[in-house]
Amino acid sequence: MELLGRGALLLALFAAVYAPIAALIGARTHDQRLITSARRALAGCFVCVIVASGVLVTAIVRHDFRFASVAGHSSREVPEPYLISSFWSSQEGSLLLWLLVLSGLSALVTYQHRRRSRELMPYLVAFLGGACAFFAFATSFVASPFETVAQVPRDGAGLVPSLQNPYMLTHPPLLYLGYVGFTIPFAFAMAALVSGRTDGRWLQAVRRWTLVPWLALAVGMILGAKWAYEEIGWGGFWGWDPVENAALIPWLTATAFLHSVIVQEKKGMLKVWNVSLVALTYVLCIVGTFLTRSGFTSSIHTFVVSSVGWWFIAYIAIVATVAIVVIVRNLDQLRSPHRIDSLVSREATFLFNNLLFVALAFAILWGVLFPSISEALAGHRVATQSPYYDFFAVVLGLPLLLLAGVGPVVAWRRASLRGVVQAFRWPFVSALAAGAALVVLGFASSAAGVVAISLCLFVAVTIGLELARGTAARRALTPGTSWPAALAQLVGRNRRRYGGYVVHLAVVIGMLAIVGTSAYATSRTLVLAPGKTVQFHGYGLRLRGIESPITRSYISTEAVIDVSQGGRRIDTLRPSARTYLDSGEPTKQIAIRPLLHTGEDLYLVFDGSPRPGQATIKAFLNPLVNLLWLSAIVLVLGFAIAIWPDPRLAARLARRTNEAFARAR
Amino acid sequence: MLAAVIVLLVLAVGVVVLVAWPLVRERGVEASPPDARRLALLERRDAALQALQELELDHQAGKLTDEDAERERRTLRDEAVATLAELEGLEQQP
Repeated sequence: MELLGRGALLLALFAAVYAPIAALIGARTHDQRLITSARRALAGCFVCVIVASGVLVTAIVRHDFRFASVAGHSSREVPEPYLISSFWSSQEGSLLLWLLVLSGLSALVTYQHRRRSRELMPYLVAFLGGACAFFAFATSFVASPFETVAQVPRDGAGLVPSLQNPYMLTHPPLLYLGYVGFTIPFAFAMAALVSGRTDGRWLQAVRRWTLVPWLALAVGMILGAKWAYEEIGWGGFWGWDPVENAALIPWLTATAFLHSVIVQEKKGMLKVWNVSLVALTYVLCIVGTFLTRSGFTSSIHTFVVSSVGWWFIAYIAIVATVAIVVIVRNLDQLRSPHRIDSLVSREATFLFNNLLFVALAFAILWGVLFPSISEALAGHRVATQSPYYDFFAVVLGLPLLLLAGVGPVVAWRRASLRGVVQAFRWPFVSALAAGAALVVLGFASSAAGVVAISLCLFVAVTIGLELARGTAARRALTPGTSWPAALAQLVGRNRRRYGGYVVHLAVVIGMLAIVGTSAYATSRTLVLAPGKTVQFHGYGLRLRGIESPITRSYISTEAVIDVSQGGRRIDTLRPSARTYLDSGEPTKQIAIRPLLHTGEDLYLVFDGSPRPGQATIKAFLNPLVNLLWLSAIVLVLGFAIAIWPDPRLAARLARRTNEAFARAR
Repeated sequence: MLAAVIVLLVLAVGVVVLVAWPLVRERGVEASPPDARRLALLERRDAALQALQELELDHQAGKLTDEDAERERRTLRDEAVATLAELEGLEQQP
């Protein structure tokens, strides 16, 4: 098994090293056969990594504790569905998963574009092969998942109990798909510049291949938030943890790119900015990975300190240098004859939105790096606390929310004052009315909360009006069409635009959840005695008793609490504290009573027994929190609409390319 | 152990065949790359025409005042005409 795993990884490394060498020689000698061979080497690399991954999965399932990565992250007690989490919970396994996704995507994308992007292909293969080679080297020689132990233990150390959660089966792979996926747009951008083919073909490919990892990171982060909410037990879902931030930072720069690429497509502007954003996003993905793997930052889910960090620093340096050199050497290709005419225009709005996204990304990055920088310079570690991040999230996030409403509606090039008033009077009046209503209803305790909810309404009304006006215009063009049919036609004819609106709607829904839990959540520590009812924001909590169930895996202490509303019992909740037998690790099991129609959660954490028979309970009331999970569904819907291939767009691109090729012949 | 060696050998041979197969075939005829200048102009033409279509829809939907729409229409038309003229000039070159 060990030989097969190691051998397969070595073969993957050979194939990955061969790919860029053969591709570049093929490009130099104009030998298409060599370029095809290089492309196939990426597929070969993927096959070898599948075999290596199969070996690791088999070892985990068979409890083969000869492998250090298996012995250290699983045990016979780990429930079967969660065994697979052992694959990526070790440093070595997670790097193998990275390589598996990277080589798979590389093989897929180079196969898909073998005809469409012929001139780009050698460089695309070279960049992707280079990335595969780095990770194949890392898993072969720096952090091998097939390292064996001198003395085979009878059982493994087990999987961290908090990772034995359904969300941990999906959250890490989605984040990997996100991080790794950004290699594709980076490779496309670099290949386009090196080959001098910066026409629309690469842009379309880059946009699509940015959307996929962008969605994966977004959904991965939301699932991670759900895991933190249900597993950690502090009442919230986002703690500005370095690992959470490591995923958020590249997501923000990728979001900036997805907006500014529209300006390039429509107006031929911001080309340098766009390739720089693509490169920056990839570099930030690797920086994020470095932060979580080197021991550079401390977090509840960083990996152990490891020498792999130095290799990551070298890789970051190489990637950043290559990107800067390639962009600087090709600045001529990227110059645009157009300028932004007015600050009140769609292109200017997109530029402001980009500056805010990038500023927010760097503010968060600085917060992540600051503790280590302060330690290096001043000798002591100064932790970055939540208020630092909250400040920037509010100061930069609220204008971003406003722009989400303004951007899609304001005219290209230059908007007149009359045009602006005409487009925004109803959204503005709605937002103002919402703000006034919130103040009257007693929500003025948080000014940022009132502004944020008003802005959410501003964006929602803008989107609603856009859809209504567009549908009416379509009906006017084709009389007799029903409203739903006209709406379907409208969305179908411009999927990207309307898919984008649905994504904005998801952002509004998610933002309401964030505002609800950050500005209006309440909590209290309650001591419950058996039989007595304690009131908490309209809920009656009555301790029925304390139970101590024991299973094969853990010993638990559960507070059994009857929850009532208006004197009527509505539920029985069982918050508990568990101690796992194999690791001795204590965990808290949260009890949640969601109210889907209001979106709020009653959230109870068992915090021990002050006296026998009593229970200390931390109770939280989290308004609107359930909207966050709903936003993930709406986000996926918007993504599906936006990415669905548009045959008219594809036909136009094909016709244009054929015209250009016909002339070349 | 023996099984692992056999699987590894099969894997290695498979990868070598996959990679080497294109090299043993005859060299194909390479298509000439498209003219970059022409492709850029075609892109500009398509972008201007599409922008004109979207402008009409936005105007009809009441997102633009008549003056804003007229000004933008004029700019886009000028841009499309200039691009088409440049394309024509390129066609006439030997």
